[in-house]
Amino acid sequence: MSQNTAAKTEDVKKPVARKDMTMMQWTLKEMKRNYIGYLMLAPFYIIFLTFTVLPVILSMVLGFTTFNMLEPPVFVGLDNYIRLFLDDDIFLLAVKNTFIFAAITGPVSYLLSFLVAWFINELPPKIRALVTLVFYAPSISGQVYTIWLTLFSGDSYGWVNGWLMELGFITEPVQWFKNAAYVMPLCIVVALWTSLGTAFLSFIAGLQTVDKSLYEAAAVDGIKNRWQELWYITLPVMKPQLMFGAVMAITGSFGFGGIVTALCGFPSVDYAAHTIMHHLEDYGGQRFEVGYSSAIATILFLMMVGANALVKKLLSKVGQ
Amino acid sequence: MKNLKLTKPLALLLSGLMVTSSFAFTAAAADTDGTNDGNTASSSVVTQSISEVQELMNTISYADYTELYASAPKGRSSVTVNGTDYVAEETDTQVKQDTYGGKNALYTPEEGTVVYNVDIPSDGLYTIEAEYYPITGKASDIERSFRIDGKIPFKESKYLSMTKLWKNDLSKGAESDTGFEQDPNGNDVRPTAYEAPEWMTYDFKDSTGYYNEPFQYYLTAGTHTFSLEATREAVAIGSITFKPYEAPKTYAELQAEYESKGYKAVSSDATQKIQAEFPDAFSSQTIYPTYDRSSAISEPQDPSKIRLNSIGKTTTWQSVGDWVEYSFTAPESGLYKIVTRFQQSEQSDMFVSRKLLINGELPFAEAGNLEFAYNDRFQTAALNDGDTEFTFYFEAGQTYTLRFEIVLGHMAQLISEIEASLTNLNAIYLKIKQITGATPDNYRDYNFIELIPDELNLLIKESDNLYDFSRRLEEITGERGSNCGTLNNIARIANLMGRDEDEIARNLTVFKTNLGTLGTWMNTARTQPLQIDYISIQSADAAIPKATENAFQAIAFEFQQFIASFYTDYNSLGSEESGEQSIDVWVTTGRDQSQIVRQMINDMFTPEYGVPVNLKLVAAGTLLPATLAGEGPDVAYMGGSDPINYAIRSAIQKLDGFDTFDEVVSRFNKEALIPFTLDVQDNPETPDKDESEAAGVYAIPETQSFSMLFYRQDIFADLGIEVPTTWAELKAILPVLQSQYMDIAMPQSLAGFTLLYYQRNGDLYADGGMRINLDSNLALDTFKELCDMFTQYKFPLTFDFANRFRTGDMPIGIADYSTYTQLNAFATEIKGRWTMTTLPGYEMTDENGNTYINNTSTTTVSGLVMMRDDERSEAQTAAAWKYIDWITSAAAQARYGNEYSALLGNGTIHVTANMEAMRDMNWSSSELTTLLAQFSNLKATPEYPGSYIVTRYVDFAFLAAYNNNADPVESMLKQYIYINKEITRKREEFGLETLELGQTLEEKRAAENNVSADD
Repeated sequence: MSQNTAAKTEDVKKPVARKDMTMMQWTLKEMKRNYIGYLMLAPFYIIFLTFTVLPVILSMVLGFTTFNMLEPPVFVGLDNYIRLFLDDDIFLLAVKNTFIFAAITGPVSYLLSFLVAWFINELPPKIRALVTLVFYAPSISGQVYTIWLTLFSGDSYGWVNGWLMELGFITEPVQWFKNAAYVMPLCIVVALWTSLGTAFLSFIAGLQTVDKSLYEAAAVDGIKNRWQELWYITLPVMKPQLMFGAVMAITGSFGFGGIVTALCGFPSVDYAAHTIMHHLEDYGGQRFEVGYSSAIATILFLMMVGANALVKKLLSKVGQ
Repeated sequence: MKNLKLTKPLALLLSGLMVTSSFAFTAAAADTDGTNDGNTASSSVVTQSISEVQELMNTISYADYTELYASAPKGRSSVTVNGTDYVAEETDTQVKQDTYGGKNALYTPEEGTVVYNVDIPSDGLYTIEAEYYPITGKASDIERSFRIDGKIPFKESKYLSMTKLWKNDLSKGAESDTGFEQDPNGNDVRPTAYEAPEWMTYDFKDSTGYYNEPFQYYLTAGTHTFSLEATREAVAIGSITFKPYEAPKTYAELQAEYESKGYKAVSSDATQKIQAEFPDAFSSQTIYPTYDRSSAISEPQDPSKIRLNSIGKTTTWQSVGDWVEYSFTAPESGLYKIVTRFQQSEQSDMFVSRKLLINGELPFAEAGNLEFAYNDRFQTAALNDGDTEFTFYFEAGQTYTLRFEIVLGHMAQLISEIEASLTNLNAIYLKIKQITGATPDNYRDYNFIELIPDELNLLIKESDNLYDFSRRLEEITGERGSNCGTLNNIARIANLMGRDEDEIARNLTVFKTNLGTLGTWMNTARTQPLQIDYISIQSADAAIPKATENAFQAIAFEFQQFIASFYTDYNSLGSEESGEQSIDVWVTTGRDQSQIVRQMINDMFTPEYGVPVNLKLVAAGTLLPATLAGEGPDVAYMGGSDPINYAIRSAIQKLDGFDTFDEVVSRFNKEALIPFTLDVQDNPETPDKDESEAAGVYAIPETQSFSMLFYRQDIFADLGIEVPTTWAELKAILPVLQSQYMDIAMPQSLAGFTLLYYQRNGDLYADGGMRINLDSNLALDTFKELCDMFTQYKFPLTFDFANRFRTGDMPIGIADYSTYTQLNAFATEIKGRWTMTTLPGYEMTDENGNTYINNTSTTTVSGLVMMRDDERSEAQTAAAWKYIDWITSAAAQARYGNEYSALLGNGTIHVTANMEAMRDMNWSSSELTTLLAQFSNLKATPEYPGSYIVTRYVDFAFLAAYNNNADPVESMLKQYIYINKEITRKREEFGLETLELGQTLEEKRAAENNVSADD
C-alpha cells in the first residue's frame, strides 16, 4: 500500500476501509478514536518515558563516549567496550563475582521464598500473619543488615570473635569483613537473609488466590500427592506471581551491591566481593568516568534482560 | 591464625542458623549499640606532670573531707583579703592592679598562680566567697584551682568554675514587633550574645554540682597562704572573704514570719508575665532564645515563621552552674507565686532541678531544690520542690531579679555516690582484667580469692550500695524507671561475682557492658535540660494558666501550618534580594551550622562589603549535577580530593591570581594548601598545549584536622611508665601495657603508613605525581614497620577508642584532636586523669648532625572553592573572592567556632584551619600550647590525578599482610604496580606526561637524550 493510494482515497472521500490504509494511518485513526484511553495513559507514559526509558537510552548513548560529568562528552565509538572486555581485569572479576552472586542468591532465594511461602500457607491465618512478618522483617527494616557488622565485628569484643575466642578456636580477632576469604560467603549469607522480600510476599498472595475447587476437581481427576498438586495446579495458577518473583530475584541478585558496601567497605578487600554494580559506582562516582560506567551499565542491563528471557523460558515449562 | 580454617565453616554454620531463625536478629539488634566499631579519633592538650596527677589521685574527695572535719567547729568571724594584697614573691604570673567597674582590683591572666596570705581568727570551718570581675575573653567559664598552704585540700577544690555574664544584643530588633531582628522572610533571627562584665560574687562550690552547699574549708587559727592557679580565662579579683557558713532559713520559718507580719495574697490583676526568651543576663553563650513549634499556645507563635519563643529548648540550657536572670517590678505588696510554663521532655522518669536566687540571695533553703517534672508536653506549675508550692513576698514598686541556676538538687547526693561507686567498680574491673585478659576463660581457675580478696569484698559492698541507690532513686523520682533497672542489674552481677569467684570470668563482659551503661546514664542524669516559655509572677491565690492548647487550637494550628507549607520556602536561609553583586553560596553542613553562617553574613559580611549573599543549604551530592546543568553556585564548600577533581576538569577557578591571595594563605599552615594545589607540568609530547597553565591553588582551607596522642595519666603513673615521645619508647613500654592486657590505638593502612612515612621525611608521590613512591627502600621499610605493629606487636585493628579509653583498656592512642572535646564533655568519670600531647616520632639527624624528633602528624583539610562561570561579572567574581577571604579570616572563624560549640554542645569543636582563630576559641592556654605545637608540625598528602586509587591498594597490601601473614614488602610490591597503572591511565585522560611502568622521570629523560643523541 502506498502513500498515493491513500491520498487518492482521501480525495474521493469514499468510506475508508482498513485495507486501504497504511499501518501508520490506521494507527493514527485508531488513536483518534480511542483518544480518551491515551489521555488517561498519558501521565504514566510521560513520566515513564522521561524518567525510565530516556535515561536508559541516554546511558546507552553515553556508553560510546568519554564523559567526566563536568565537560562535554566526546564520542569514542566502541573504545569503552573494547577496554571493558580486553583491558579491564577487575571488570572480568566483577562479572565473575556477579555471576556467583546471581547463581547462588538468585535461585536459592527464589526457591527459599517459595518454599517458605508454601509452608507458611499451611498455617492458620493468625499465625501465618505473624510468621510472615518474622520472615519479611529483615527486608523491610532497611539498614538492619548492619547487625551483621556487630555480629562479625573485627573487634575482639565482637560477638562471633568473642564467642570463638572463648571456645578457643581462635586466639586473636578475625577481621571478618576485611578478609578476602570470608567476605564473599558472608555477603551471600546476608543476601539470602534479606532476600525474603517482595517475591516472598507475592508468593504468599499467589498461593491464596488458588481456587480451592481446582484441588477438588484435580483429586477427582486423579492427582495422587501434594507434589503433583503443586506441580499441576498450584504453580500454573500462580504463574504471574512466579514471574514477578523471578524478575525481582534477578534484579535483586544482579544489582546486589549496597549491602556489600555497607558491610565490607568500598571496594571490598582484594575486590573479593566486587560486583558489576560496584564497578559501575567506582567509575561513575570515584573516577568521574561516566561514559565508561554507562558502558558497564549497558552490559549489566543486557545481562538482566538475558536472564529474564531465560527465566521466562524456564517458567513456561511449569506444569508440563 | 591456623585455626581460621576451622572457623570458616563454623562461621558459615552460624550464619546459616541466623537465616533460619530470624528471631535471633531482634535479640542481637537490641545489643548493637554496645559494640560500635568507629575508630573515633581524639586528642587532648593539657600538660600535667605525673607528680600533679599523683597529687590529684592521692587527694581525698570532699565527701571524705567533710567526714574528716565533721566535728570541727564553725569559724567565728569572717576575714576579707583584698585582691590587690597578693604576695608578689610567690606569684608567678603577670598580674596588675587596675580599676574595673569603678573598683580597684587585681587582674590575673589565664595562666599562672596568684598567692595570698590570710590571718584566720579561730580554728574552724569557713566558706570562701570571691568578688570578681570577669575579663572579656573566650566563651568559656573562668576556671581556677584553689590551694591552701600549697596543697589541694580535696579533689573538687581543683576545679572551681566562675561564670561570666552575657547579654543579648537586641538593638537590631528594636523595630520588630517580636523584639528580635527578622530576616527578609520574616523569621526571627537569634540575637548575638556579648559579654557584659559586672562585679559578681562566687561562693567556692563544686563545679559538678554534686554538693549543693558551698565548700567549707577547715582552717586553723593563724596565718595561711592560699593560691589560685588559673586554668582558663583571665579574671580581676576584688576580694576574697573567709566566713563561717550560715544555713539559709527554711521555708517553714519564712512562712511563719510572713504569717506573723500578716502578709496576704495580692489581687489577681497584679500578674507580671516575663517572656523567658528575653533574659536580662545569662551565664553562657550556649544559652540562647530558641523557637518551639510543638505547641500552638507558646508565646509568641506563628504557623510558618520562626518565632523565638522560649529559652533552653532541647539541651541548650543543661549544664550545672549555668544560670539565667530576669527582673520585674512588683506592682503590689503581698504574696505571689511564681508560675513557669515549661517543657521537660528530655529526662524521662526524672525531674530536673533549678535553684532560685532572688536579688542574688537564696530566699529559703528549699529554693535550692526546685523541681521540674517530666512530661512530653508543656506544663505550667508554681515553683515547687516536689512537695510544696512556694509563695514569695514582694514589696510594691521594688525591682527584683530572679536568677534560675542549674543544680542537681535532690539528686546531687545520690549521683555523687553513684559516681564514687562507679569509679570503684571500674577499678575492680581493671584489676580483674589484668588477671584474665579481655576474653576470660570460663573454665580456668584464676584463684581470685587469693589474688584480689579486697576487691571481691568491695564488689559485695558496692552491690549493696547499688541496691540502696536504686531504692533511693525510686524514692526521689517516685518512679521505678529503667534507671533503677540499670542499677539493680549491675548490683546483681557485682554480687554474683563477689560471692562466687567462678562467676567472675563468666560475667566479666556483661559487667563491663553494664558499667558502660551506668556511665552513660550518669552523664545523662547530670544534665538538667529545661525549656521555659514564660514566667508568670501572679497572686498566690490566682489559678495557674493553662499548659497546653485544646484540641481545636491544635487542629487550627496544624491546619495553618499545612496551608503555610504551600507558600513557604523552608530551604532558603533568609536569602536576600539579588543585586548586581549578589553571590550564591552553597553549604552542605547541617541546618544549624548554616544558620550560623547566615547570621554572620548578615552581621559582618554584607554590612561591611555591601555584597548580598544567597546562602543555600544543599544535599552533598547536588553540586556535581548542578554544575553540569550550569546551575551551580559561585562559592561552594568542598573537601577531600574534590577540589583537584573539579580543578583538573576546569569546573572551578584558580585562586592564586587574586590580589589578596598571599595575605589570605598566610593564615594557614602551609601544608593546608597542599591538597588544594593542582601540580601539573607541561607535557613535552604535546608542545602546542600549555598544560601547566592550570597549575595553582584552587581552594582556601576552612577546616583542618590532625592527630594527637591521648593517654591515661593515672594508668601510666600506676604502671610507672612515661608517655613515649618516640616510637622506640612506645615499643619499650609495650610489654608493660600488654602484660596488663592493655592495647594501643594506632591508625592503620594508608593513614598509619603516611604518619610513619612522613615522619621519616618520605614522599608519597614522585616525579610530580607521575608515579607512586611506594617502591623505595624507605617506603617499604616503613610499611613493614607498620605491618609489624599489627602482626608482631598485635595492635588491634578494630576498636572503639573513646569507650576503651574510658574503661582503661586502651590507655594510649592516636586520634583526631576533636576527640579531646568529646572526651572532655562525656567521659567525666576520668576527668583530670588523662590528657593529650604531641605524637611520638622518629629520632632523626638533620644536615648539621643534630638529632631531633620528627613527630609530624598527617592532616586533612576542607575548604572553599569558587565555581568557574565565564558569564559571571567581574564584580561578582570579586565579591565571591571577598566572601572566601572573609569567611576564612580569623575573626569570622573564631566567631563561627564559638557559635558552633555553643549551638551543638560542649562535645563539639569546629576544627578551624585558621591558626589565629584557634587561639580565640574555647581552649585553655595549656591546651592551646600543646595543640599549636602539633599544628605547626603537619604534613598533608598532595592530590594528583588518580590519587583515589592509592588508599585501596595500600589497604589491600596491608590486609594481605595482616590476614594472611603475607610478607609486607612483597604484598606492597605486588600492589603498587596497579597504582602506577591507574595513575598513568588517568594522566593520559588529561593529556599529561606519563611514565612507563617501573621507569622514573630521570630514566625517561636520559633515554630521550640518548635517542636524540643517536639522531
